[in-house]
Amino acid sequence: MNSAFIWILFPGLIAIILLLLQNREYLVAILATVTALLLAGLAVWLPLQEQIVLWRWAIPFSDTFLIFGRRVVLSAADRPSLIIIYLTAALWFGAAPLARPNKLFVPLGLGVAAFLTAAIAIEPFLFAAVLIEVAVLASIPFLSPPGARAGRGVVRYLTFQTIGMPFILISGFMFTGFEVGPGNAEIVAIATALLVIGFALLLAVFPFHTWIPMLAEESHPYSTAFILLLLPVAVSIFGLGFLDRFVWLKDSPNTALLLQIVGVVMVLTAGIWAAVEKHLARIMGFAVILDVGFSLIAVGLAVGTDNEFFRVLFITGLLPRGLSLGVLALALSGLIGNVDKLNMENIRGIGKKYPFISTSILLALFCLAGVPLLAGFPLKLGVIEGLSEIAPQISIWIIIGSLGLFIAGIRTMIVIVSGEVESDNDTPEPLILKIFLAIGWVLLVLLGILPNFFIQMIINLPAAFTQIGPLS
Amino acid sequence: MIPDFLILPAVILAFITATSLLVSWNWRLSIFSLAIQYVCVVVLVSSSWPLETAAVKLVAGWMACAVMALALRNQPDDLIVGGGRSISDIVFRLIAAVMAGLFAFTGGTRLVLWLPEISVEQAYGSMILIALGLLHLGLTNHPFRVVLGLLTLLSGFEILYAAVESSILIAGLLAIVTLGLAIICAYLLTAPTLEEAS
Repeated sequence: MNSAFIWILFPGLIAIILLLLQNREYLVAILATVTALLLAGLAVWLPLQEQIVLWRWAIPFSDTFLIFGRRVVLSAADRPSLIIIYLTAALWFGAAPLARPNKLFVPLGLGVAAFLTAAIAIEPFLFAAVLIEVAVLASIPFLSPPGARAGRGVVRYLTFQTIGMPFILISGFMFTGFEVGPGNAEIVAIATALLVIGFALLLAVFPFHTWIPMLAEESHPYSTAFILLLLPVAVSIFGLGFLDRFVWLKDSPNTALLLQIVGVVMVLTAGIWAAVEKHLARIMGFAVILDVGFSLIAVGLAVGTDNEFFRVLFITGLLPRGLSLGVLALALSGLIGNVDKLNMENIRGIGKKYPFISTSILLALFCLAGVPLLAGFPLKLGVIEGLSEIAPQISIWIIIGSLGLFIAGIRTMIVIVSGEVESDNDTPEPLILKIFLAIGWVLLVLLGILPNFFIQMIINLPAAFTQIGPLS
Repeated sequence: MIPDFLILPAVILAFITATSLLVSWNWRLSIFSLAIQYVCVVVLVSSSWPLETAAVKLVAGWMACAVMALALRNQPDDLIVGGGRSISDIVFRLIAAVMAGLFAFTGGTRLVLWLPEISVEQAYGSMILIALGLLHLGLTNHPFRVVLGLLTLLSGFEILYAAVESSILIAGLLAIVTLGLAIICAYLLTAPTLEEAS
């Protein structure tokens, strides 16, 4: 038995089987959810030893899988990443029958999760760039479903993610030449520039962010949100591998500064665009860019200040982002079929007709903007405080960015509660959808009111992220 | 081992095929150019790798060409290119290709200094394909043309990366990416008609 068999090959195999069963939507969703929950549960429970004893049998167990002379390692340090990936997948697949995305979403989504797990496990870690690209390729069919022409957003997503991979591979090779310490200043500068461009393409940093709102507008919000949540997590873990591997890069004051500046630019640009945006799904896209920007600032602060607190902020920030995106995507999916388009004109007055969906959209947007008493607030406040201690002038800009998303939420609220619904469709909100959304509300508010409870729960998980913390 | 005298012609042929991909609006000519381009890639990669390993690029590339050709065969022309090209468009693309080639010529010389593992010919070949691939991507948003641009760019990168990394695993993974791009291109081209078929 091998950890790669359990968390990479097994879900890959299940994904292929589910692909064959794609017409049985409920069965596929149930099987995928059970599989993902099982894998997340195994990541928590499975003991780390050389053999697993099951009743009378002792099964040899290894965390390393050899392939063409390279290693695929899923050790104890990777368990938190596995829990994040498979728990997210389970949540998304579980509610898929309600959101009704493309039939290919669940099978290929499980495949994407398996590829991203492989990206975390592969050694040398640089090869992860190629596996992330393979995951991107696997995601295209459910982002651009059969029966429709490929939109510009999907094509741009494919283009940017594919161009990013060579940049990272080449810069990674150049970095290995000065693993102990930087050598030739010119080559170091070029390698760093290539690395920054590569990650900017993968993480949709301004000006390479355009695919996110375009994709959100063209594709089903549920499948888009899945990719917008998992992909930055995998890319961030991959990026942290660079900081972990090249100590001189981690110790350089420019690294922290660069991460913070990039994060601030993402927060500011996303906030401003969200404030003037008229399409709800595009606002969701900008909200993701803003949240990823906050994560980058947290990593920059962790690297720059050697403070454990910001490491915790980076990790715990994934929970409110996942919850908010899940609630927002599910609510937007609930509107599909009931309104022509998800833009402001078409959602006028839906608050009276779809109160649960409308409240969910607003709560999720306000949570992502960092409004007090909601899940996003404690973490965003921590980042703003941390940044204001070292660069108060810059911290103003991220407050402006958050304010931009808050304005987008207020505009949405005004539109939702004013006027009458123009649609003739009288389909009420399904009861199960209401229950799912209500659970989401409760969690969003509980996380905001009792942040320490959840933070303590998560702090116990993340051995995988120690590399960005005190940087010992 | 490929004879050394073939390497420089491969660089020149790579420029011609990449320019042809940029200028041509006939999908058959584009697929043919791409197939020839993969031969050039194998010649350049074989300077760093044994020929039998370098042949992986040719097999993957030609399989990608076959996949795209099969998908394109039954598509109406307007879905593939959106009509022909004007003379001014062709002239513009040719001038842009020449300028990208000149950039690749100067950039290749610098590249050898940064990555001493690669030869000058490999640097020229890879820079030509990367520059023309990027140029191609900047001039289109049609899925087929975008994938042609991406495959050209990746071919250039693979020449470069083969000189510094000889892992069989990465060769396999890059071959999967090449094939994956072709399959995605085929899917995106046929997707509008898939629902009706089912």
